[in-house]
Amino acid sequence: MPLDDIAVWGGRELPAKAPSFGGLMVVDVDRWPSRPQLAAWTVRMDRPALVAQVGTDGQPEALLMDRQGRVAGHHRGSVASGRLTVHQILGRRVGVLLGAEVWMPEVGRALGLAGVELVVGFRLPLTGSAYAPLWALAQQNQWMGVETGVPPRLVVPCESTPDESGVLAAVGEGSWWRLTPPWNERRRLVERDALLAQLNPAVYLRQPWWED
Amino acid sequence: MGGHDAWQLPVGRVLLTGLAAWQRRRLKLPSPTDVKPMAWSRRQLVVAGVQWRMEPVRALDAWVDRLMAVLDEAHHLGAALVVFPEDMATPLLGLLTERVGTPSAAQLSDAEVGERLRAWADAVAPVYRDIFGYLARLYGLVIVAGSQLATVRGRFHNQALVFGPDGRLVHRQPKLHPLPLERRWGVDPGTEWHRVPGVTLPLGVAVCHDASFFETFRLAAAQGVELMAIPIADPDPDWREAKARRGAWARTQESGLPTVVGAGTGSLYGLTLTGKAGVYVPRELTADGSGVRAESEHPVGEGLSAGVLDLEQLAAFRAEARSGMPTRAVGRWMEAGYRALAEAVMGSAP
Repeated sequence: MPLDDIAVWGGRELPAKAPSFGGLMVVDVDRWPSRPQLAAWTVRMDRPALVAQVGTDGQPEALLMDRQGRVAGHHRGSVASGRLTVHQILGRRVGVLLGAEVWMPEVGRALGLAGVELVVGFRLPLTGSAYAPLWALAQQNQWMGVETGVPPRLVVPCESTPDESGVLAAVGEGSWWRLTPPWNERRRLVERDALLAQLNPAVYLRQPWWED
Repeated sequence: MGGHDAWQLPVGRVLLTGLAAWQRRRLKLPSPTDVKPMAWSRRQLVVAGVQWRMEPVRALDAWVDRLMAVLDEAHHLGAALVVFPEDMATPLLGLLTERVGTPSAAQLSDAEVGERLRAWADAVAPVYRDIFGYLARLYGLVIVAGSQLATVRGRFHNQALVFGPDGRLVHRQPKLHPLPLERRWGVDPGTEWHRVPGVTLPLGVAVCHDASFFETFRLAAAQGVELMAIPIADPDPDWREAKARRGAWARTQESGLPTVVGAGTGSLYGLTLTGKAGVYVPRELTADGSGVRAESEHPVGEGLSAGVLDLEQLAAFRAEARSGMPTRAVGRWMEAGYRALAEAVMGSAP
């Protein structure tokens, strides 16, 4: 079954019970339990999970656990680690953005060029604006983003929402929140009007700003 | 703009060239006397974006009167920089089309529209440059005269023109990212991006869709730009705030570089344009958290949006509050990603 909707946990500790929906769980806790406990929890939930915490160095980090309880990915920030990782989760390409790296648009672009459909953002800077930085990255890369927090929300290309706001609210079910990305609308948009195909890589390669 | 056979394109070009030159000769323009460049400081820089109703120009003198009314207001406010909309020169095709009829562009194929634009745009270019150079000198300010379609060394560009306060044309910046519609008209993307030379303002120009991509602002920041001018003309009759916030406003929030937007509105050859002129700064530097220093009230109509910028405050903000240039590792991803994209799109990377 392909990844359809996403269950975002609203608490600060691992939930005891699995939600009745959600092909992927997104959980942001104060502190991870031990790896064996986390593995056992994921097996009990019977679905993959992205689980974030603030590490001992004060920076956010996230683990992707597969449904067998194995660590499928460990994110300490793409910029900090120098590693860009894209996951295949139930047939969807998924990336992760952590904290202030949402202000580094290169990361969002690199994920876009790597073909991600969905990016989960943990501990993003609070701006109080509907047009927060993850929203802006979703627009210029045409991927969809999950802003964790309470309540979480989906930010997607404007054309993928009926009111063209590019924002989709979560539906609360107890302490879980359900997010349903408009996968098909987004796919049709990219097929019709692919923004990344309108980039001008020849200029960027000729005038690389990333070199000293 | 339509209804012509192919042979009429060169004839129209000759006619348009003659009409433009004739109307230019008839213009009675006051001679600039003792004009000093508008004073500005890094702490107090007044900038203005023009919201301009696009309509085919029938009479050059009336068009210049409208331009001078806007610039009078900007001058009164103390603006050192005024930004006009994208495609500012295209209405000058009206010098011809208003005399021979103006069927909608929708009645022509994109290729036919492109043929006419390529055949006729260069005919009005000298008049357009002449008038904006004159106005920059008359008012003593930097004018980003919106953009014009022009053939440059065999490539058809949508290029922004910048005039210094002495009236000199100091910069031409082709649009790097033409819209798919423009591509179908045959507009070629620019091949380089440069900071505006020859003026004291640390200024860059990005044409409309260029502001949809963070790369343009990285190119600017790497060249020491501290202020971006964005001429826009959005052919979308259904203006929505969210869609508008995807461009200059979002790039300002991301990069910390303030933007001055000149916006085209109205209807031109069957295309309905909407947009707001504005001055945008990082949200944190506005009392209401909007990031809007000044903005047109409505996405239709005409007017001036002016605001004051403190370049020192903005520089301090960027140093403190935003991610700087990418690390070497991130740069390697970008290089690899762009190279793969270039090979996929163009068949080869430079």
